Amino acid sequence: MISKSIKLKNINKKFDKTEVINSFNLEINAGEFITLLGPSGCGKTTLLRMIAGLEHVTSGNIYIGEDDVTSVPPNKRDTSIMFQDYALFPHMNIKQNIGYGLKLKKIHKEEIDKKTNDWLRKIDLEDYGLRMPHEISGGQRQRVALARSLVVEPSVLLLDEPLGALDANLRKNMQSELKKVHSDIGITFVYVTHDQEEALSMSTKIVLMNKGKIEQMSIPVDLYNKPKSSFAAKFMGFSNIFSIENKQELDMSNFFKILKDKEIGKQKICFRSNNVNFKIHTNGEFKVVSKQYFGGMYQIEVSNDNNIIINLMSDESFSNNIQINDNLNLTIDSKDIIFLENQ
Amino acid sequence: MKSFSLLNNFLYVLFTIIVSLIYLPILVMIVFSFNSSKYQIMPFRNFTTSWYQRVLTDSQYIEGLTNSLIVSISVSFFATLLAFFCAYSLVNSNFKGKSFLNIFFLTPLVVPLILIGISLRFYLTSRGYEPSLFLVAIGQSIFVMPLAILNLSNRMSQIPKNLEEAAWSLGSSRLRSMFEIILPSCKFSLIATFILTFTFAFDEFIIAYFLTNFSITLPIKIWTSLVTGFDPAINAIGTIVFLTSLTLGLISQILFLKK
Amino acid sequence: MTFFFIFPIFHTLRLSFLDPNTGVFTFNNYFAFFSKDIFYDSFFRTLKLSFFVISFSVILAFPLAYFICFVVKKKFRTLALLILVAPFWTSFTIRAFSWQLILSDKGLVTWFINKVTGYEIKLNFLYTMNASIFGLTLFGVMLITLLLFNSMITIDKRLLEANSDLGGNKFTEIKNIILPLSLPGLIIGSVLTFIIAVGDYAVPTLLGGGFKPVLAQLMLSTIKGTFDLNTAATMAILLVIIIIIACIPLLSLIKQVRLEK
Repeated sequence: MISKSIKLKNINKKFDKTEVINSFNLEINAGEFITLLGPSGCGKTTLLRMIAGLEHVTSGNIYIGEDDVTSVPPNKRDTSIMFQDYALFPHMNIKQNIGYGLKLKKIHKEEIDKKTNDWLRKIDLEDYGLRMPHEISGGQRQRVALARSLVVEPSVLLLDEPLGALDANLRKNMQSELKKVHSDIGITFVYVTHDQEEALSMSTKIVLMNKGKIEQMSIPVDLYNKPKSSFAAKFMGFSNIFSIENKQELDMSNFFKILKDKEIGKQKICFRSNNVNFKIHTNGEFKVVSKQYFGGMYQIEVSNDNNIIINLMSDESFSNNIQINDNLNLTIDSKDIIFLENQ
Repeated sequence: MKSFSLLNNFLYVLFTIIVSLIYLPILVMIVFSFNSSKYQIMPFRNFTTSWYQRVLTDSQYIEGLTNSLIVSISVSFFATLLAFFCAYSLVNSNFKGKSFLNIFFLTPLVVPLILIGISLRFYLTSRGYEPSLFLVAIGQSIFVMPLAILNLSNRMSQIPKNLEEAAWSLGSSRLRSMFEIILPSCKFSLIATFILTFTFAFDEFIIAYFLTNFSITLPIKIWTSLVTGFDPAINAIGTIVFLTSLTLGLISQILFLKK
Repeated sequence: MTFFFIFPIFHTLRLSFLDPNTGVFTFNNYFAFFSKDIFYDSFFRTLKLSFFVISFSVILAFPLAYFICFVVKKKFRTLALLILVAPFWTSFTIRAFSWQLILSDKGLVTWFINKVTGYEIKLNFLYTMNASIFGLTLFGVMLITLLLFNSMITIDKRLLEANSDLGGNKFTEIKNIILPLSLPGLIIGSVLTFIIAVGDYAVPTLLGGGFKPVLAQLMLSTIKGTFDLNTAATMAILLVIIIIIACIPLLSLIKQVRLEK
């Protein structure tokens, strides 16, 4: 299969009068597994649908490979889309579903037969070809939808939260399966999800979106460890986001005293709750406010005189004996503190 | 609890009364269709099927029946077909005049049949058309179209939008996806709509009355027999029509529920 | 559709403003209409007829729909509905005619009473306006029940549970939950019933008789009798005006209900 790059240039999208996508620029290399990540309503699905051609752009251009496809209808684009609810055709059996795209290309019947059978084998549903979509399980439907999208050999596969409807176990399996398919066939994948774990485990690159704009674009490791904004930090699971006055004179012995609410100080910072070390100390400046069990771990909320609330996460063996209203002393390693870009 | 069951009992009684009032005339019609007396009054004389034989040999009834069948089948065929396209464009497009068009398609529903009949007659004769079965078919199509559109757009709006989008992304054109994805999904509704429009057109009297001169349809024949003097054969033909439409109606209801 | 529906209606509208003899634009047809007693009477007779038909239909249909939706067991619900709806598929005309057989002075009812009690009685019911109201109401009940049922069946049962949980009774349940939520169905049903009642010809002729005609009957006899198209057009337009005046407030009520949702 041929893999193609995608280029979005200055895309704007309005529904009636609300702006959903705002001067959006993005280049996706051929063969990448890119994830559009963001909370619901951030415009990620709209963007995906615009690449597929299912949604008009208000202004801007979309390129697939070298071609400007901005006004090309979906059926003439070299893309294939997979939906969250799979959208299998209910009146066709599994084999007809997979073969539908080939039939449209006026491919010879025997060829269609051979290719669909190949795919049925690949997705482990060899004996299910004559079943109807409602007669198979959710996971199986998912694989059929994947096969139906890929059998037409698109240059770009668009996936709209394809694992959203599956239970946790099946999800994990499908994640690795999708990843394997991607490295096997090597075409460009554009994946939409709101689940950061899913994004981290599958993508070669993540585009974090917020309110129709790119918040941050990085490889997964960087997004997880070096979020640039407080939005990114929050989305990647940082529960301690604060600010300080002066970046240069960071006095680690006094660190927790100079923390301010994130909107006040000049420099925003964040750190993960499991990177904070703590000890019970009668003169400790922080007091335990709440304690919640998280299976093997405790999440502890502590607060000081400045009303700064810090989240701690620790192993249950270590924090078992900590009670509410206990006084704690906190310390943190300077390498665990991340400086955010101000906006 | 006691007052509840009192209310329920009252409702049971009400339901029974209304249902019997609705079915009483039908029952009477069926009973009298087997009555040998020429007069439509009690007591019941002897059992006979001679009225049925009369109906089946009387050339006027046969002609009315044939005309009615021809007209109703063409009406329901074209109305269903047209309604399919109208419903498709109503459900799937998003242009500005959509709600206006929606209302426009449904207005014939709020216009009395007699008005549709009269207006069409005035207008078409003023333009030089002669009343004919063809005009009857047009008039009745106007009257059944809203029902057909309602029925089909109801069904179509339940089909997930994704389905067609998936087809497009696999390379299907709009026209093809309409026939290969939407049409099969509406299969039952199409049949139900066909039957529904057929029974309405078949039973329709007043539009036909205005738009034809010499070729009579069955309801017109029934009407003229009713007002020009008692013809017990009407009970026979009424029974036949009732049983056929009932069967068809039940089939369409079942299909409708099945989706 | 424009050609076969909109144009004819406008043509009729134009006709109603033309003088039958000279073909000049005039309001005279309308004045003439209201100056003749027979027309004037029939106009208000039509209004009265449809008003009673709607009122009775709604009063009867509401408990029926409630019954089918909330009292009848789920298993039998479709059956009950089918029983009520099946006669839609029978000839309206023949059904009206059968009522003649039942209600006439030598009909089934008087015969039955005679057999049981020995008395000869006269009903004096057939060929009155009451008979027309009776016939059309039966039809209206079927229609409104069906549409009301469609509205009621979508009501979330948990709302009713919440009502009784909060100390409400059957009465508050119907008044505060079922009635407001099924209002759209009730209104649409009433509008359709009204339109049918206003424009129907068969029932008023067969049950109401010809001596006190409604507009539809007059229209027909004018066309077939005197060929006075302009007067008939005038009546047709009056019919439309009645419908517009009666239906717009009802339909705008639906819009309000929708907006509130």
